[in-house]
Amino acid sequence: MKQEKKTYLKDLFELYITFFKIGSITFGGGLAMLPILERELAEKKHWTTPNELLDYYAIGQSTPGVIAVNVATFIGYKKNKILGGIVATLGVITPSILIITLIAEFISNFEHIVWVQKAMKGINVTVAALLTYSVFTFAKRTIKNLWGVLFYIAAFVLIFFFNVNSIFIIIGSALGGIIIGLCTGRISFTKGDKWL
Amino acid sequence: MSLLSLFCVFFYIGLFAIGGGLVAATFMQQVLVTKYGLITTEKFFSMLAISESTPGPIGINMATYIGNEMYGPVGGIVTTIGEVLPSLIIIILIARFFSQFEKKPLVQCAFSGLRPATSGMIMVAMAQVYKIALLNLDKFYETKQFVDLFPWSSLVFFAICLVLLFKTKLHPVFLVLLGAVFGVLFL
Repeated sequence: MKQEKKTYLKDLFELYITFFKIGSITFGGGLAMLPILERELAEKKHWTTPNELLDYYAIGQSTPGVIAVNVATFIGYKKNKILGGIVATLGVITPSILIITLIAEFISNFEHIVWVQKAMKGINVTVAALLTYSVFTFAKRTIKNLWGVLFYIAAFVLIFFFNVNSIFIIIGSALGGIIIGLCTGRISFTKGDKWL
Repeated sequence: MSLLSLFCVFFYIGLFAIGGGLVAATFMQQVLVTKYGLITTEKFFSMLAISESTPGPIGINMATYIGNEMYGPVGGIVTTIGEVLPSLIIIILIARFFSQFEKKPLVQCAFSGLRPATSGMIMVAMAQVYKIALLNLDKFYETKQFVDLFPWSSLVFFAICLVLLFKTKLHPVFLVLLGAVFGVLFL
């Protein structure tokens, strides 16, 4: 019994440290972090699979809040229920709190320091590469048929060129998927309530 | 504004900002700068610049920064917790029922539309970063010379990053460090 409690605490600690690490290397927003999450959570820890991660991203995009945090909560919950979700979330936000508090308290004009600006410009190029990798991995795994191509292009064009709010894309694509399911007979109302 | 109301404001932001950190930042600007006038536009954008150039999700960095500015370190913690609390509750609820529903045809079909659309949304993020990191739009508008449109050293470094990412097992965090070094030396 005591042993069990010890491993439970060890699990929570590991969860905290892992997401602390992820929080401290997240640059350029959560979307660019897919390669890092894949490496840390799927390959190293086996807490999730790349395909599950994609679903968490899809859910994280469609629910309120910051994506990196949403993914952390999801995986934390999956591992250690509610406490796991809370611990993983705290882990991912702690570096932000520490770093920003230090900067706000001690460094004035941080954003005007020349080498910080230069380093940031360089990191932006890395982020562009990380995002390219994310886009390729996502596209390869999620576009399974012609409908997929259509949804993919439509989402991009509507947001990028027409500034459509992403919430409409989320609702529209989910509904679109359901309508296609109804038309192709994947969802059927005649088989009782099995469709839900 | 009292600390409790500040907490409520960030809870509200966390609850309604859907689609990631930058959306949250825009929402913060509307609520904190335009509606309540808690911070000036200028201060807001300098905070945003710092939040983007430090590690951590941008929305979280912004929340900590604004809280810190108004109530010191404790304020920073309070606003950050306010911001993550709604999504924490919502995601835990979803995660609880997700395993029961994920195999159902209705949910599967919804996801078959949602997944490719999510890919498209990530491509939007990619295109936006391309615009700042891989194009020299300002200089191009100024000189109208096609050669000036591309920051060549950045493009070379970008190509190196892609090769390292796709072809090697190098941990992505090294690329972030490499990017910082590249920026300090060449940009």
